[in-house]
Amino acid sequence: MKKALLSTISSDSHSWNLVFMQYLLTEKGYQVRNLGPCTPASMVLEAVASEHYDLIVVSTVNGHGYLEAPSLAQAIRSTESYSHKLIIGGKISTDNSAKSVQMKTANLLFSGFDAVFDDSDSNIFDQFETFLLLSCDYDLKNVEDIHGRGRTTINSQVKVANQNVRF
Amino acid sequence: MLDFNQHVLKSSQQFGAIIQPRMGFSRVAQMREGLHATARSNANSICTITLDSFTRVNDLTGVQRALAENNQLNGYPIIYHNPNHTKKIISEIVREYSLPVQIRHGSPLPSKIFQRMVEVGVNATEGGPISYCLPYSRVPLKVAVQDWEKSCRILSTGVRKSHIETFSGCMLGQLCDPAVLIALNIIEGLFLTENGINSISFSYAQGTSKIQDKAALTVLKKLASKFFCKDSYHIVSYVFMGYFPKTIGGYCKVTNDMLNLINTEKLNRVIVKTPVEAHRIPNIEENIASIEFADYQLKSEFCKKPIELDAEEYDRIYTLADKLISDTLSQDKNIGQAIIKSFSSGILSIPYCLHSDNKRTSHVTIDNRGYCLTSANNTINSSSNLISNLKKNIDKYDL
Repeated sequence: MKKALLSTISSDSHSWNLVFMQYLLTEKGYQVRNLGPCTPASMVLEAVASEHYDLIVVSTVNGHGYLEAPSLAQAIRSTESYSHKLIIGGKISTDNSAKSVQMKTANLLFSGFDAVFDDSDSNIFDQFETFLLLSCDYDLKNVEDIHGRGRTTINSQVKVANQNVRF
Repeated sequence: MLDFNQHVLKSSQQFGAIIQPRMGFSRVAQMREGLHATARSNANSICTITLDSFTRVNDLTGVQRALAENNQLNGYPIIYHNPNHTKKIISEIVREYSLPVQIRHGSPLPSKIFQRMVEVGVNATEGGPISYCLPYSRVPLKVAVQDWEKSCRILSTGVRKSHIETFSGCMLGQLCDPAVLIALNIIEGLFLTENGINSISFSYAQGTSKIQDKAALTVLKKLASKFFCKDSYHIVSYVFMGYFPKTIGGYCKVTNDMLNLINTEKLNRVIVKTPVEAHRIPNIEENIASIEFADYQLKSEFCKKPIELDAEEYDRIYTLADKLISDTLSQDKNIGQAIIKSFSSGILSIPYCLHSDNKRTSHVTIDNRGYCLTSANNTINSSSNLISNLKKNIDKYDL
């Protein structure tokens, strides 16, 4: 059975998104470990180091995702143990104008996320489901084939970013 | 320093319910502007400073980094800003408008925030060891109880006329039996007053049925008068805090239903939302529009319509809430210990709350009248079922 790690960022105290996501991921065939609200980054990293996960979902709705999640993604991606899918969704910014969300999404992708699902886009759940569907029906190698170019670019950029750029 | 409780009691009696925004901005200048705009508004208002979520979890580095990079926080970082600046903007409001300011924080460990409140001269805030620990944090309940005891001492000895609003009428914002919300309100109120707080307010968040809300508020008033002296408390209600209607029409309708209850139940204070709430943090103009809209609506005929009392539901809520309170109080003479023991034995439990000190012994269901009721079985057990229950007010008001 595939395993998913469900978390949020350390300043986000919301729960319903996590309760919902736990049900949803379970229904999509994942065994879910739900770390609960206000997840410290260190706890996510410990979880990743101690157990294998096929998917990490960061669900956040307090508008601070764009501030806290880039460093979380960089930390997860810099651990040798995690090379699988890492996604973020919810309300990623206090300012949800299309331009702001686009810019912040780009930054999150650049930091190591494979996909960003901001709910300012009304079709975002369909996109999320498609993403999960691809993840369930194909093994990781095939998903990499589908998203191959993007992944390589993101990961190689992150390594450079870790050294040179502060988000 | 103004007496928050007396101000609310007197002003609401004279002019109708006090209307309060949720408002908090990153910078001192914008916060000042927001406070003045609230005070000057065409509504019977009081002012709010809502803190940002980094400050709530004592992450000062998070605040510093965000502000250094010119990013926007979701509230006012009261620990970061120079206390003299905060003191200045608060005393302006008190001096120029004779209006109190309430600090809203959401912190399970608020002692540093309370210390800062003393320094900047604010005596009114909100929360409690249960309501700001279990739904919103991962701090052990025992640790939160200790810090809240300390925090209450800091506030009650540091300022005159300390006031705290229990936040337990709003646990998780939705899908909690009103009987549980009311029991927790009384228990948290007893905790706060036993730890020296001068006056309190009890909160109640709008649910999914106006009739059930009426029954619940009637019970809350009854139990509050049983446990607390007259004039030592007031009641504040919240426009729906759960999965919020997305249309402007939906916002108007859900708000009107709450305002109707405010009038018929003679509640003292209401905290309103804005139509952009479902999407992002509202700006000053949107905050002011929403409090003025609420003030106007409160005086409308629609919002004065009588609401029927469901006596059977009143009895059910009263019996269950009273039992939860007496079972909890029988656990220990010390109210803090009684709270810890009641959660660890499962006497008290909050549905769907993920905190490890919450036993999740209780479940709820929403029946065809829209009543949220304690249920023996967990009938809400899938993503689609959960979302359809969370969305009840979207379906009802976003037509």
